[in-house]
Amino acid sequence: MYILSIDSTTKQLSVIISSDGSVISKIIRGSARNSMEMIISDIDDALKKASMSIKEIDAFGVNLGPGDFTGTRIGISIIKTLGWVLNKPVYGIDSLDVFASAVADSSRDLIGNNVDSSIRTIIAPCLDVRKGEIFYCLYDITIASRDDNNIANMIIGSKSYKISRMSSNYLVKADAFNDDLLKNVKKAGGGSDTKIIFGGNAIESYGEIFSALTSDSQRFLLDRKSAFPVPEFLDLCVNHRIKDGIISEKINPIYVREFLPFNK
Amino acid sequence: MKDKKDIYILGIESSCDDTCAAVIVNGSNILSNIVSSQNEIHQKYGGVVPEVASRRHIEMIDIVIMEALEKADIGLDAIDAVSVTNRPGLIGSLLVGVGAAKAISYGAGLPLIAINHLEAHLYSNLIENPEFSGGFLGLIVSGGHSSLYLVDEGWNIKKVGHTVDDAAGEAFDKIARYLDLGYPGGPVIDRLAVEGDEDLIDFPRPMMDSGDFNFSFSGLKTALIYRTKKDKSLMSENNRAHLVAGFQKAIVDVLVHKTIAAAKKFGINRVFVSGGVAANSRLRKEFLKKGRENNIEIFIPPLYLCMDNAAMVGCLGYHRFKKASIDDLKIDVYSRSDF
Repeated sequence: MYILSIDSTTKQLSVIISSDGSVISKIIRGSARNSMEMIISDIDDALKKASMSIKEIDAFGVNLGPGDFTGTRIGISIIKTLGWVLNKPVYGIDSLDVFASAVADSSRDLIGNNVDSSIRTIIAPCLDVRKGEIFYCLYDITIASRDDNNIANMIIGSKSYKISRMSSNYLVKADAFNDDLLKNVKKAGGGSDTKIIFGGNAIESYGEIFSALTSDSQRFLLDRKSAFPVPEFLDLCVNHRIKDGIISEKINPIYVREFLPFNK
Repeated sequence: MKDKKDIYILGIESSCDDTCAAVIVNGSNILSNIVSSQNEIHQKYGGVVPEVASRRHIEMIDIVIMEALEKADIGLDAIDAVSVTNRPGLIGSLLVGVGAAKAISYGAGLPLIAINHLEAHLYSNLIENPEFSGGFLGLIVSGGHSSLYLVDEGWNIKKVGHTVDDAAGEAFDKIARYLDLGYPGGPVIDRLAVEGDEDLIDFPRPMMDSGDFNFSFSGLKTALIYRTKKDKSLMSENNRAHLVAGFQKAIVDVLVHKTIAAAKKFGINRVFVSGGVAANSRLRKEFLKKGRENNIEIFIPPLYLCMDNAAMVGCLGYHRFKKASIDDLKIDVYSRSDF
């Protein structure tokens, strides 16, 4: 099964092709100021690298954001139309899911140890969405069982773990993040010993808030490697959705806020 | 069944607030012409809000394109080329249509043709009159444009006049919003003005004799607001119809007067009028009347071709396709026109 996915939600434009879960081709454009001009030729280059034609692709994936308005819409408009033209399914993924998978992957040993010792471990990708606000979500890591409905699975050692969404997406003022997080962890059934790993670009933008958290308590950890969405994890989430048989009904951008033209 | 000689073009238009797709044969036979209007959405703001428009386009674009093919009762395999508006317009709106067009072109292996929205308006008369030739004066008057173009026998386009501030449609929208009449302003003012006496309240005719072929409608709008501030009774239920009728007449007079003057100056006896404001019944009537008086033939397309639509984008796409004037997949979107 060949899957082609696009991520244009940040200034990094990526096209990735995988075959049965293994990446076979990838094009990453560092600063995609001209994604509208380059996107088709990047898709074409990625296909050429894999010696394939677009008609051989079995499914398409796209990062739905939240992200840069223009970039996200370019990617979505291209991918959902390609899916329709070639009569292939399209899978849209929330960018927080992509970040969560990346954070989980870069902390895999720690997660393996924690989960095996029954220490509850939560991943919290946090995005800087301007206006002094943080957009985040909580994900649980547990031993995987069959027919789980989750965003992705991850093999660590000989065991399979699952990453599952525990909440809807939260939007909060940065200075209220601390209280909001603890309240939502509690709501999700987390206790005072629950480990929380943060990722996403907000940990850089709001360095002081996150440093304060991690210096106060051993419970909180930072994963600084995930400032940009990594296409491999978009592909991972798409593969998982295909395996679960969850078809996206509508492929539209995910926005942080409802757009209000006038400040009423 | 498609005749092999026939050229089928899929047109896509998303430059402002309407998501449009059409299938047109040989540049004149419209098989489908789908317009998903956003009027209801922008109504509460009294004008087009770019981010809101873009959000709506991305939700509608695939649905509208599929509907156009379905209504035409053909598949993509019958299409010879895809043409799409890539300028001028709102960037966030344009990129949705252009993204979809690129994907169709790449996925289905079809030629891609990038279209200037204004040029498409100027070509749209060919849909109803395929024999219509170049060598005319074109007025495009809408919420975003109020410009005069000289189109020569070879269809080379030269702008000879434009608005120096608000477009005519924009002035209608702003006044309709000020008077709380609804959106879009043109149609509501057109309807209300019928009940009023257009000669009761007199408005200035801005730049009527400025010597050039430019327009200005911002001062006219200010004049109306000033008058109503000075005399609040003009805002009453009874007077509002007279008020907008006078305002509409001022806009119509300037548009018609300057267009006819330009035609005379350039020695042209054919005038083509299009754009959303060309749907205004008072403007249509005045143009036909002044055309007769001055021996100038006036062409105004039916309403559905005056408004933003993808049939005209497909029509121009057809003429470009015939000339093998094809674009590559790197086309970008531009807020401004190249003429």
